[in-house]
Amino acid sequence: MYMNPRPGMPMDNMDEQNELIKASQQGDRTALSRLVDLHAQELFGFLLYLCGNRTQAEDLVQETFLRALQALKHYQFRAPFRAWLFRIAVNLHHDERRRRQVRKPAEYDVADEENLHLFTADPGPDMLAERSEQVQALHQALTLLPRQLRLVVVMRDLQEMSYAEIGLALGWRPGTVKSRLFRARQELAAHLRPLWEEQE
Amino acid sequence: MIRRHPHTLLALYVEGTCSAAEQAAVAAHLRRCEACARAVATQQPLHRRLQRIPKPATPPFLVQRIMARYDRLQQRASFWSGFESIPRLLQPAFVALLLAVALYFLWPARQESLYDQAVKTYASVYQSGDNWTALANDEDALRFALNRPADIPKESDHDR
Repeated sequence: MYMNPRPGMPMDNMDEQNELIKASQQGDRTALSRLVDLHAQELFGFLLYLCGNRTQAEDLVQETFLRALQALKHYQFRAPFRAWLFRIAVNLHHDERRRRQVRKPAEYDVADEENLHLFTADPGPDMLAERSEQVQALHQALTLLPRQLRLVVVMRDLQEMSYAEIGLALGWRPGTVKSRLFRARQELAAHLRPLWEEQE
Repeated sequence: MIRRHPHTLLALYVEGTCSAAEQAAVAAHLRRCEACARAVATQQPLHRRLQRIPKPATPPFLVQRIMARYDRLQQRASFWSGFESIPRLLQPAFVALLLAVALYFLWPARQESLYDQAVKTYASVYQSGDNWTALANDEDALRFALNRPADIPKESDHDR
């Protein structure tokens, strides 16, 4: 059975993650659970920004992990695991949108008061209010972006993924990632500036 | 010297992740290109601000729920694992065989063939001790049961 060498610590080391994957491929359920735990937060955050709806994001996180875990025995370490996982999530989100024939994300519920705890474990009332406005404005602006631009800006600026990972997850060349990111930031800034200036 | 708007490099410049040479080239371009300079001035504060947005926390018990669903799927999958152990090329043949067996036993209007009926008739006549037992042999009796009397030898022929 796999034992985490640093219990409770985030595993940013690629070797350790690969060890977890190998143990999972051999049927170690503890390693599998740890692997899910390791990526659940970032995947949920990504899908929350993409969908703007907590329930939908949760459903997609579950579906993504189930697909990934079932296909894990075929994973051959050619692409970073995070890129592989996010690619599954992006495809599922695309299918979901097509199935529902939704052109824009679902009704935004992320900044509703009951969901604000999602963004921080123990926020004070002032921080809650400020955060609520910021997040709501950000999401409003994100919904106005075309899907491709929304994907790239969320992955890079909010999830801090590398250009290589983004390229693999979206199937784009590195140059395309950078030029689309530039356009995405430009459009996002145009939508966000009036909203954030209002708040200040 | 950069002649076109270097959007790919500008994305890196906004983050401050360019190499020293790239940074110098972009800076030179920005001095001449007002549009790019304006874009960078807009995007740099946005990038800084986006990085300060807190990461969403994982909903409670999300991992446990995922693992519970995964376990249920595994249990279901183990039911089919026997089938998966059959070589892939033989799987369609195995399915076809199963279907054929099922159809044989479940077909509602399966009728007896004429031959089966004839054999049954012969058997019942033979067991009843009727006169027909006098027929010369089993083959004759079968012919009779199959309703082909013309071929059956007459009793008088046997007597001779």
